[in-house]
Amino acid sequence: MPDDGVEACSGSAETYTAGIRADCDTGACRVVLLEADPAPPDRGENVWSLQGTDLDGAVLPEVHAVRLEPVMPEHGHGTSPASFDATTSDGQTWLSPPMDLFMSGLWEVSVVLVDSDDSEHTATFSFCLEG
Amino acid sequence: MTDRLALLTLVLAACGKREVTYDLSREELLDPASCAGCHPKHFTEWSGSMHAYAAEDPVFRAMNARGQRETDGALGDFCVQCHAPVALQEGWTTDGLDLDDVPEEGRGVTCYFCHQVDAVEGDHNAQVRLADDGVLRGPIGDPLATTAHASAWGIHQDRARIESSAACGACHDVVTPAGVHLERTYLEWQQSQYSLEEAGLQQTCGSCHMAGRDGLAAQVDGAPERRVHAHTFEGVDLALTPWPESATQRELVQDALDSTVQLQLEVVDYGTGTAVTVYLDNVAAGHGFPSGAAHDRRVWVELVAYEADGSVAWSSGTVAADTPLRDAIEADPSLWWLGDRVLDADGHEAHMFWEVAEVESQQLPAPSRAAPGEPGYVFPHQSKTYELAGVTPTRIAAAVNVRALGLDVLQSLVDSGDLDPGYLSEVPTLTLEGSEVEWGAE
Repeated sequence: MPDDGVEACSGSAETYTAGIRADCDTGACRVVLLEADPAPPDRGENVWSLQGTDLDGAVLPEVHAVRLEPVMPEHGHGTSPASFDATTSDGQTWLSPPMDLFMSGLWEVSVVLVDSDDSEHTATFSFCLEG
Repeated sequence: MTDRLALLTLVLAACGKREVTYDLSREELLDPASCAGCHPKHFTEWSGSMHAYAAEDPVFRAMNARGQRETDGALGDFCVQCHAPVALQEGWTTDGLDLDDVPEEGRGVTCYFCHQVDAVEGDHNAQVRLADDGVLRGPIGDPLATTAHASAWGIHQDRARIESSAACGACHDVVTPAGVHLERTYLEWQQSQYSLEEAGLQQTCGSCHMAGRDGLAAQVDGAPERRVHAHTFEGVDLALTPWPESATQRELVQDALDSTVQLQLEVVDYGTGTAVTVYLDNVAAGHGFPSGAAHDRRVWVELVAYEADGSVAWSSGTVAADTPLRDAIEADPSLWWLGDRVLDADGHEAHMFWEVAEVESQQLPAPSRAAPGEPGYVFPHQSKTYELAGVTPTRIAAAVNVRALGLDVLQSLVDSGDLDPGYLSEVPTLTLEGSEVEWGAE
């Protein structure tokens, strides 16, 4: 059997599971990735369902907007458009529009929760897209 | 051959008692239609690809016909070595002027050709070696034993390996008989960060042009699910004649192009006018952009500035579908185009590759393999500032447009009697969605 060749990512990626969480940079909240489509995330269009919670897991009611900003840190580029605005029908669960993660490799997707006072909390998910 | 008999021959062979025989003869292996039974999805994808179309493309045929005529046949097998390599190998053609008489299984870049490559002996003009041993090579390390044909892992067929790009590069770099390195896709990729054999960076040709998916490598009993890949090979070219899977192929090409180039606008109001700087980044081509026959491609920036009432205050690069870009450039000196400009030995602009003596490249480079400060580093951003004298727009829209083939090139082939003029209207202008940017004064 040949070996697998060069790894698609350098090793800092997370393993996707439905409900995977990431802490906000402000230490005040978490973002839960309820579901990704496709699952696990793969090259091409990806749609994510998200919730913002406090550190005890209670859904944050005061989130006014959710923005997703994908980048490939090892490649040095992001997407165009650079960010995607999620939408919500119940104020609790947010759905991203299709994000074209167009290359295989490591993608870091920053999820920015915007409060009613325009303060921002950012949590980042890192996935290795096999392609 | 029955399954039982095939199994018996395999078992005996494993014991070293008898030579293995398989269901498919060499003649059958040469024919892509033989693959469709067990690999229907792979076959369907390939059948719509430009690899399948390579020997049918009327522009290729017209250019080869004209080239053979204008060089008194000196071109020889230069074109068909990549456009119909199996036909050349089998002696079904020598110069590609008789492709209608060549068996269909010999036209285009076929299954047998790619899956027989066992060595790459050069970096241009089809310098690959075909094993021609009936063993079909692929990326799977433990291929399922089959009675259809012998199977083996091949380093040149494994898109996770850098060597697979070398196999692609053998035909996707072209050095003309005059010694001009005219098509440089493989070289451009070699000079990019994506050719580094480093985790997280390496992107082979197959990483982008053969998208992965989970599925079956063969529709046979007992076949496990694998990570397989598409055989659509989308790039920029599209079939100009009715062809299988053409709608799918167009969608794939558009998707691939959409993410290739990113555009940013910087707008400065200087009182008596506006300076608009457009920045372009080739983030995802993995090679220069445009690439391949970059001298035949037509890529340009369209920039339109609007007044508050929606009327156009200023524009550049708004090119009608039936207008050759070269004509638009003459009428619009500020038009920013990308690609290669090729000159003949007298310094005049050339249209046909055998006339080319010099290449002036104006491509967008891929992110450089070399780090800043190292030899060979290429600054990846390119920009152009447009001076909109006397204009203070409220909205500006910009985008990058692509035509795979210049209408001036096609017109030249029409004028020489080698191409039907009907094809002039078949080349679409594609706008790269990822490059579409708007700026508003508020």
